[in-house]
Amino acid sequence: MKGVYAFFWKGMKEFFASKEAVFWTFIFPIIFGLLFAGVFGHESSPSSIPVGIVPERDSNNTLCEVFVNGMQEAIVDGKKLFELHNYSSESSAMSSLKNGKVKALLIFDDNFTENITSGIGQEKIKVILDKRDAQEYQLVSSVLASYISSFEDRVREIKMNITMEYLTQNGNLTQENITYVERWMKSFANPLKTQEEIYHGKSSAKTARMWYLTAAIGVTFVFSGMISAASMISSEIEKGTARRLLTTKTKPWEMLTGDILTVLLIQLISSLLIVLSFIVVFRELIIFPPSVILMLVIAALSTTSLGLLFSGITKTQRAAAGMANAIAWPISFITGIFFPSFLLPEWMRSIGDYFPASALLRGIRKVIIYNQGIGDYMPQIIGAIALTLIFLVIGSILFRWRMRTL
Amino acid sequence: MPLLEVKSVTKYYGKKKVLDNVSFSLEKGEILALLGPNGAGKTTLMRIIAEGLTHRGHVLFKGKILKDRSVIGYCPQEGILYEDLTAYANLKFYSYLHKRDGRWARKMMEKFEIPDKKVKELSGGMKKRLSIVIALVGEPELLILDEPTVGLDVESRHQVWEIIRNLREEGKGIILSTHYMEEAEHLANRVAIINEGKIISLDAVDALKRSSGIKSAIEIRGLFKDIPQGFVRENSSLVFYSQEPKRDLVNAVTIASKVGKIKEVVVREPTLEDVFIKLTGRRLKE
Ligand SMILES: Nc1ncnc2c1ncn2[C@@H]1O[C@H](COP(=O)(O)OP(=O)(O)OP(=O)(O)O)[C@@H](O)[C@H]1O
Ligand SMILES: [Mg+2]
Repeated sequence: MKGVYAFFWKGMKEFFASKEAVFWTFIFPIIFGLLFAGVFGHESSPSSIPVGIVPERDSNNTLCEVFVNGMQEAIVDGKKLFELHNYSSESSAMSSLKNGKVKALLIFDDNFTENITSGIGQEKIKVILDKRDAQEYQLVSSVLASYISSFEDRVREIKMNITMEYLTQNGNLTQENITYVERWMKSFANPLKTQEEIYHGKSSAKTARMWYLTAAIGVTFVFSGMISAASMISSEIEKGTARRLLTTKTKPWEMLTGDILTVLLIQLISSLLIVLSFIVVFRELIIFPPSVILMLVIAALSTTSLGLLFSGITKTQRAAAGMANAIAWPISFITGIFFPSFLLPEWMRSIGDYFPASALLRGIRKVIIYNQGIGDYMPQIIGAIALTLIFLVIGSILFRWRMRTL
Repeated sequence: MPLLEVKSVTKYYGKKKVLDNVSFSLEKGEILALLGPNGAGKTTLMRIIAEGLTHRGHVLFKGKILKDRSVIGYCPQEGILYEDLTAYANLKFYSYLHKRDGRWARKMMEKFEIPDKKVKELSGGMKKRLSIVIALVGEPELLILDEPTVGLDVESRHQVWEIIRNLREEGKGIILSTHYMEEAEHLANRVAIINEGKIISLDAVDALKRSSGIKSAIEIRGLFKDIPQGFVRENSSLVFYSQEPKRDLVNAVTIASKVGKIKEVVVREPTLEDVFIKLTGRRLKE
């Protein structure tokens, strides 16, 4: 056991010997986490949609004016829903759309008012949408559609009122019948009344911050954990310390264990610093329950043992570190470590289910972001632990084999 | 009973025979120098003894097959020091590996006057000294030092020699490798001349010189275009090994003058290098 301690003690001393290296090792994930949390973790306020209008030629006191004024006044969460730009011709409006100044165009027919009140024709407003950005298109088109449909409601109501007025003045209906007819017509004009209520759960900003907090921890595990584990054993072998062991009372497994513990502890210190940096910067208390801490330790062990495995199948420290590095990038992307996995194609998502660190990270996110238990996630956690142990066993076998053929 | 016996050790790397039927023994309080050019197999031989590298033949320690290698103090050719750690931390680390504590390390630092700086700030001589002290951690009876003075300046080299001599006084058996003939001459009780995996001669320095049949070396310094028959080249000199320098001197000078310009002629005692050249036709350092 003294040998384990020797390597652990030496590893920690060696790591902390270079202040500069320590700084950069720890600062990278912190910067990463804070940066993303800062960018995506603020309360999103709604923004106005720029819309180009080509009005009816003589638009004073017309329905077109009512329509446009309505748009002007539409407000959501204290912010104007539309930002309107007037154009005199369709072609000048089109060029604005093309260069992205407006996201949609509403072109009113010259006979708009007449048409809509007399009800002769259809397609009285031409709507042109920019579909170059699919997400934006989806948003703009649905907002416009809902505005238009609410305007239609208003038009129907106006028409109904005109009709009612006509009926009360010219028809020979009893007061009772008029009330019935009015209700009947109202249900034509506005068949459904929706009521909006807003769910105030954990704010989306906090969710995003916690998401990137865990992402930064995952990045630490994959990058610093996997890469340093990969190069550590190789460097002992290349340096000759591993061979030097043969003339001491220390056994190779003690070296392996000591080195693994070193890498593990450095990863956990790094995670702790990430959490502290989030607490300081975002001024919110973050407490991890024991289940999360346990999953963190296993996740760190999983990348460490994967690094060990890499050092077993490569010949030099550089090759081992290079391999770990080459794998770290795609791994962090496709397993949902720092890239929400719903954005990924199906087949990639399934890789994340099997990569232990990301499976565990998902478990951690369930607990600290979505306040769920991990009971029904147990199979995945057990799978991740099993895979970690498999990495560890294969890595140790390769290590023993390398020690024999030094 | 000898401290160490190496019996018919042969080693292949792939198809290449790196050691060929090597045998020798070492007593307590004896220094054996392995003298040979680059690639001769010195390190391989030492690794077989110290690390148990697979091989044919036997290595016996006090008459028994060597199994527990912690009885050996090994100072490998390559640096085994952690450059970012202090000298003391390095020594302490290796003490832990030998299941000792830090106190021993502290004592050794004082005894061998090693400054407690980061290794990368130590001089080459200090690093070597530290590496040798590390080999002493397990208080071994047998020390194996692979090129303990390579790359050192003369003064540091002499300090290391002093340490090695003292260790012999303490009764340790020491095998060291070197390509410096002076080192072998000044330190070793016996020298094994090793070339291309074979021990071609093994004896005390004087005996080696005697048995080589060289009485003196006529060294002719100058600029020469050619190496005449019977001569060898050493640096820019032509050397003629002679049994009777008085008889051969004029003859040798006459021949040398035909192939170049002579600046200086010296008649000197043969060195181990001369013995090596005589035996192998090669120089120790090419
Ligand atoms: N691991 C190895 N695999 C294959 N060949 C090796 C290996 N180690 C050494 N050799 C070869 O074995 C031969 C002897 O090498 P060795 O290191 O024992 O020589 P040496 O006498 O110590 O040389 P030097 O004075 O340069 O240290 C060389 O030809 C070398 O190339
Ligand atoms: Mg060597």
